[in-house]
Amino acid sequence: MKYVPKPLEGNVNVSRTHPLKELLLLCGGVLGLVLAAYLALGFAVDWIVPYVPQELEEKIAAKIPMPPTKHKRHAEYLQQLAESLAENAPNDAGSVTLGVMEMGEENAFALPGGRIYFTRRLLENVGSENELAMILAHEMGHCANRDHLRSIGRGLTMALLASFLINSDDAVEYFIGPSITLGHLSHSRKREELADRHGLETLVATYGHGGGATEFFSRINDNEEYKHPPKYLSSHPAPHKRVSYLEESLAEIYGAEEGELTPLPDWWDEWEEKSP
Amino acid sequence: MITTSIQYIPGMKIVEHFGLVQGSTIRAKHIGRDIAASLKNLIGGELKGYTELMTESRAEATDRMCKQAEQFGANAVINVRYATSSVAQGAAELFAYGTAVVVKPEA
Amino acid sequence: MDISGLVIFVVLMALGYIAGTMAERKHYKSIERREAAMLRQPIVTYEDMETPEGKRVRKAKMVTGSAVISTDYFKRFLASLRFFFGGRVKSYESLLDRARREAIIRMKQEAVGAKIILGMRIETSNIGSSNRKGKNKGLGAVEALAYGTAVWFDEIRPQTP
Repeated sequence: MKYVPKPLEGNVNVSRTHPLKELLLLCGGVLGLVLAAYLALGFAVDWIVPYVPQELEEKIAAKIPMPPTKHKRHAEYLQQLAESLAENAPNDAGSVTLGVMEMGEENAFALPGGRIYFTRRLLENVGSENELAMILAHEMGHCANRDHLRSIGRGLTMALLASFLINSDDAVEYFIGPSITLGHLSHSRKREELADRHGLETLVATYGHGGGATEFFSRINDNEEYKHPPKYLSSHPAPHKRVSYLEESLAEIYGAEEGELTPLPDWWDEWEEKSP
Repeated sequence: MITTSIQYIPGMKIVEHFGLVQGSTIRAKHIGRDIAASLKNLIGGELKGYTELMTESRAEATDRMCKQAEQFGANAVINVRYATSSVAQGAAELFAYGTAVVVKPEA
Repeated sequence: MDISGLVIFVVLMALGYIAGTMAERKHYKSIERREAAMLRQPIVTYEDMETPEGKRVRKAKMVTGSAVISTDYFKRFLASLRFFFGGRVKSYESLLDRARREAIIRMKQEAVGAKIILGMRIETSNIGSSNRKGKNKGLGAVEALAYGTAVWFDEIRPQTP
């Protein structure tokens, strides 16, 4: 047999797709897939949360260590305030337990099992009972909406999705991890807005006006100490945004009129011990 | 295109040859199949998804090899061999190669 | 969120794409040039040989050639995304193609002057490593080994008495 030398033209063994086109298609596809899974599971969590019995939530709460509470007198005062707010709240927050803790930051937060904590720094800076009531009613809104159950559920969802990604390349984790986080933060901002709305409605129903609703947010917005990350990287809406939408909702519920603010008791500035 | 795994084609006479032709492919199954396979791995048995994957890949590698032979104007590939490799886990890498020839029926 | 991780990722992707594409283009040019130069020397997978008329076998020897080609960061990322959907892992196709063709060329370079290479076989293997998480994953490098038997011929000169 005779050998016939012929050159080959083209290359059948390599696909002729531009790599950047492939990158775009694949990234879009994977993002879509993961976000769809996250949304579907998140929706399932939101659907199931209202059916979770209170006892189960308390069992979950018992597993989470609670910070020690100080300043009994202030906590007592907050407790009474919470009870009077609960009578006027649109949604029932269940039984809540108030606490005060030492912390360098101006903050208040709700934990599972109806536990609401204020930092001493926040209490020191508060100007009126109305302002305090707004923050308290916001946290009670989180309890009523069972937002910590939602966030536990979403956390499990993220862990589940992450476990699928463990077998893939590190690069994929860099790419998909942040995109899930963005979805998570967006959900968190929505829950905060709902809690703000709950706080505002409670405030207006209790005092007959919306005075004191925006003071806290204006103050942390003006405080240079707090660096506010860009919107998409933040778990809470930006303070100036909150001020403006609170003012809009206030105008909607009540009208923009300001009422008389209720002062804090005289002993408010007396603390059990020195500030650390 | 006639392909054989031996050095000749019974009943045919090789007239001329063009040397080596090769076809290769690397394919993966979607993640759902991978998960199903890892579950199946617990109880054993045939992994249908992967059988399918290997069959598809082998067919594509053979097809690509035959395309090269066609380009030469050959009508058969003799002494075809298959090889596999594993650069990426979970993907099937199939390689087919042989000698492209022109055959005609034995008179 | 880990911004620095993201920045490193983007930089590595760009580096992998630009450098990887350039290296691949250069390699393919060199492969094509050398293949064209060696075109007159056939490689076959069968083992039978016809001795051409007026010639005799001077030497027959096994020749081998191998090459290890690595993937780049960009290609690896594309491949890992491809595992979600299945189908052709296009970014690795050129990797395997280059490794095999380079191995064949190197085998031929050992067979300078040979008339034909018979019974050629190709083996490929991956070069594995454990990454920092201790999972055994391929390094993303492929080794191709080509081997065959090269045959050299001599002219039969009429014997001078």
